[in-house]
Amino acid sequence: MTTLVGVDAARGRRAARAGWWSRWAGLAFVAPFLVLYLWLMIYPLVSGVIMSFQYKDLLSGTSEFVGFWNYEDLSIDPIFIGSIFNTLRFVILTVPAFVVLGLLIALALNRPTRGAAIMRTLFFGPHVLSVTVVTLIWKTVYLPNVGMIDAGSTALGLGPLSILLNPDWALAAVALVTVWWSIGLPMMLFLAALQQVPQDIYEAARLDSASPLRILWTITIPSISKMIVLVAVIEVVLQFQVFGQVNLLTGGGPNNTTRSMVMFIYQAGFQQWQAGYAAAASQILFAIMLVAAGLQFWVSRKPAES
Amino acid sequence: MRLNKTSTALAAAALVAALCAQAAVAQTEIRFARFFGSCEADFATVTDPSRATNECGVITALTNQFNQENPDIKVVTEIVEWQPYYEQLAGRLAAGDVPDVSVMHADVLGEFARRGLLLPLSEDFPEVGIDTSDFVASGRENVEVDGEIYGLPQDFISWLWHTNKALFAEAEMLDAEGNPVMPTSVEELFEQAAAFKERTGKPYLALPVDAGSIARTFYTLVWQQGGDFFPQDTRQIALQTPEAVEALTVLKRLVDEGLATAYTDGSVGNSEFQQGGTGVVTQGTWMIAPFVAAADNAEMALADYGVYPLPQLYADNAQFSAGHTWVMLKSDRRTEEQRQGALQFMKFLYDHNGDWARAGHLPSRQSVLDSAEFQELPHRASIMSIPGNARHHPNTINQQRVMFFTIGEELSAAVLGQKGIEQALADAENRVNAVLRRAR
Repeated sequence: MTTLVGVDAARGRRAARAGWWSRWAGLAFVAPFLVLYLWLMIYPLVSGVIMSFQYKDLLSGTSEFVGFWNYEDLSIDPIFIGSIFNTLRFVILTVPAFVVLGLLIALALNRPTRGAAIMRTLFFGPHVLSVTVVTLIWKTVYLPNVGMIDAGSTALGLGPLSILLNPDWALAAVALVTVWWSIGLPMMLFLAALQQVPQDIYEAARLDSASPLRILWTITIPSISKMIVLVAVIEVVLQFQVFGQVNLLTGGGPNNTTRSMVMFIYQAGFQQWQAGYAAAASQILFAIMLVAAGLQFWVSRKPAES
Repeated sequence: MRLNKTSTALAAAALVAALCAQAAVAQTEIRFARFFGSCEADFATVTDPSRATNECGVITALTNQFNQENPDIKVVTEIVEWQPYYEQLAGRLAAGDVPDVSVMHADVLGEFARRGLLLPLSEDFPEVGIDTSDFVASGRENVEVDGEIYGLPQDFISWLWHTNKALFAEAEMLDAEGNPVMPTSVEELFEQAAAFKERTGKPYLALPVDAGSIARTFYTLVWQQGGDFFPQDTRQIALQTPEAVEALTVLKRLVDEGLATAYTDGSVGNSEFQQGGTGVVTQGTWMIAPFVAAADNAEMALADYGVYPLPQLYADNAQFSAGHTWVMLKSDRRTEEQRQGALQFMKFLYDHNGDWARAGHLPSRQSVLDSAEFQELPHRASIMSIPGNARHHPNTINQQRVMFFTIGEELSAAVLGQKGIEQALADAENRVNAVLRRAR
């Protein structure tokens, strides 16, 4: 009996030691990632929150606690409030386009032909270009009087449209550039999802004489619904951060109608050197993005739960 | 024996290599941050600044010349784009990695100096032979903060009236000396512009309305009326003034009446001017050399080019001015050799202030300004009045660059009809004051 108890105790000690080792070994494996994550993600995030309650001068590095002063100032800054609405409008213009257009292109090109492969490459092509190249191309297209669009509109007798100078159209013009530039990614994601849908379901539907529209609505879309949500969330997060194309195409004009939140943050932080003010604006952007992405998840999960 | 020879040869080679390495180490490296673009393709080996006529060419040739004449010092140029220059400099300051000599706009220098980021140079300049009493008054004002000199003024930038005299001849609007007839009041401006358009069929003026350009024209017109942007306090701008309304109304009227064409991209306006599409373009001193080159180009329609200060339309002949300066940012990492090398390089730039003027700018040294060599440069004689009439905000005012572009954005919106004149000025005032209120 004593011997059996002794054996059990030894086994228990060994198991405890093994458990301890496995715990530490696991931690050791994830430690490099954890360190980097804490250093490059959590630390800046917390620093940003702290900075948003400070008056911090980017040039001299001096800082002073000012409580909610930055947030109060932001709440009455018409340029910041305008940039929130501009950004929301931009997200509304681009995200549905990315989802719908991306899906339609993916559906059209989801076939094993050489032509489809070439078209996939063509659609994905602009995505590898830098924002500088993309805006350079489109700036030439939008150039007042002599650009491709104005030349066309003049030839049609409409006169120059000067789209980037028109407060009603400038943001839509930037949205068009963004969709042209980035449609490749949602298209590829949708293609990947479409190729995961089992072909036998389609065969069964066709045997039942289901129309292509019905197949799309009852088989394809439900089968890739998670990818649709993923694309929508990715694009919401990305488009809320629009900056490069706005900065290079319109500089926030005309009449502040294209100034995005990130552009506002950039200008406050790096041109006015008011890092605290910029940090406070960043926290608001972060909160809006969090709410928007969360809302997207919630809306997409609701039907399944009900 | 053979082995000994080999060993001796190897030892000799090692010695030579060591000496070379030591020589290389002895060369003091100076990091020189600037904008003005990169033109290595044309000027990488040029050491004669007289071969260049643009900013980039002149400064590249000057740097090459300095490196050639001072084998113990190596100036390494770090080129940054003009627009994000200060953003990048702020980043470098935060990282503690600052260049030894940096270009700095005069309207920014005060902010850097007040934050204690610049090395005071009042005592160093005389030691290396830089005579600060030779600085033109306005240039000295730019670099002096609380009685201390923080930089070497490099030039005067001004905003000019570039003209196509052939078109003025066609409009029969040249005076006895062959210069375009200049308006002396707002009424004359509109009369002459209308007459010019009627006789040539072309708009009188190409008016760049990008934020920077329109702000320069606006500042000039306000100052010419004796307007004061800061009547009470350097932290509170006043833009809803009769002078500001008048200045913006003139600019908008010119565009609305078809006498001026507004260009949101200044380069398109310049191109239109060079192609003979307009009689005048308002542009900076830096465009003198390109327009002289265009006038020499048979493919351009700018056969007879002339450049003048902006016409005096009101009581005061004020002219917008700005300037570039050379400064030394404070650094704990800089050695005494580097500090001395940087000062030597600044002395060299001071000595060659006249060469820099080839790029179109006015020199910041009175002796160079008075020299026959400078005055013989193309068109300089016709803009000699500018230093005496130069006007700029004092360097005690914060956020001048932000202010400049913010005002420009609102003015541009008004001229293009996107908002009313009063609204634009009120918005500009509120935006600038919000920035000034936050600045400490």
